[in-house]
Amino acid sequence: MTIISNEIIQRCQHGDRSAFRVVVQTYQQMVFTLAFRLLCDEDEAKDIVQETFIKVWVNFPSYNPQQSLRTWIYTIAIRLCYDRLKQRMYLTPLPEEEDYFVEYISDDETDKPLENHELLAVIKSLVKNLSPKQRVVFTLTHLEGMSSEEVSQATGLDAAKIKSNLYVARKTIREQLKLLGYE
Amino acid sequence: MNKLDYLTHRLAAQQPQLMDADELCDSILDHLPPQKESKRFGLRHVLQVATSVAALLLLVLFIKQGQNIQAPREDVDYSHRLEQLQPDYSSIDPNMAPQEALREFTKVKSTRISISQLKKNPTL
Repeated sequence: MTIISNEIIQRCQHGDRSAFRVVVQTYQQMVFTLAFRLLCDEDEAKDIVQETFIKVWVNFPSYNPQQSLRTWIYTIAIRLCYDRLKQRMYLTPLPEEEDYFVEYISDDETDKPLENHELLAVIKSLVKNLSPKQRVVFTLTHLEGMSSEEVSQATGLDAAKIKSNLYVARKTIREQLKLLGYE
Repeated sequence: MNKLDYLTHRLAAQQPQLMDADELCDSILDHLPPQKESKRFGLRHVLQVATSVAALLLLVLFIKQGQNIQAPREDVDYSHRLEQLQPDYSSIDPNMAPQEALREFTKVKSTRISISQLKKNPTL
């Protein structure tokens, strides 16, 4: 992961758009991946990328350079995704997406890169029974590899809530996998 | 590693591809609104706060000074009354019986007028 220099950050804080281009180019894939996994929708993920960087730009003069820029951008993106998730409670995968999911979990050995629509089908089917909060905690912990503390900082949820949401999320998914004969 | 963890591990390794990344980047840069003014505590904020505090202190100082300015003192001559402040013990005879002398002393002391009483009522 490229690290943005302090000079670029200072230039962004003073409204330099060409410096901001470097920031967008560096972190747009990271934000897209996060939003894609959380929202399970490619177009919405692109919207989140746009919204996130506009928010980052607008608030750049208030950004504290002692904080990691990556974490700051990440937190903004998570909150935007979470707000969207709360608006549409549950995901409903299409029948063909569910079929692909079954196929994917049955084939333990395949590590070939998935196309976007395939990856979307698997994630959507995996988290379909989770509430927005459970989905955020589960995705950040298991797919984004964040620690409990990082999830807490990004979502504003306390450690106990993260633990309980993660427990319920895992239990729900395991039951679903059991029904499919995977567990 | 249990099956759920294995599955999530496999999924975490998969990254979606952001198509038209350059186009998206251009679109973001084309729609940037004006930046918000910094909320961080910088030198400019320190100066602003210091100026406000100084102005407030000056105001308090002026008010205090205004309260300390008193009306010119009335030049009253209490000298003609000062002798009244001093009790006249001449009426106590050294040969008096102790009881009687004490009674006389108390009587004389009660006739004393204080400066504050005089100030309040100069006609005393």
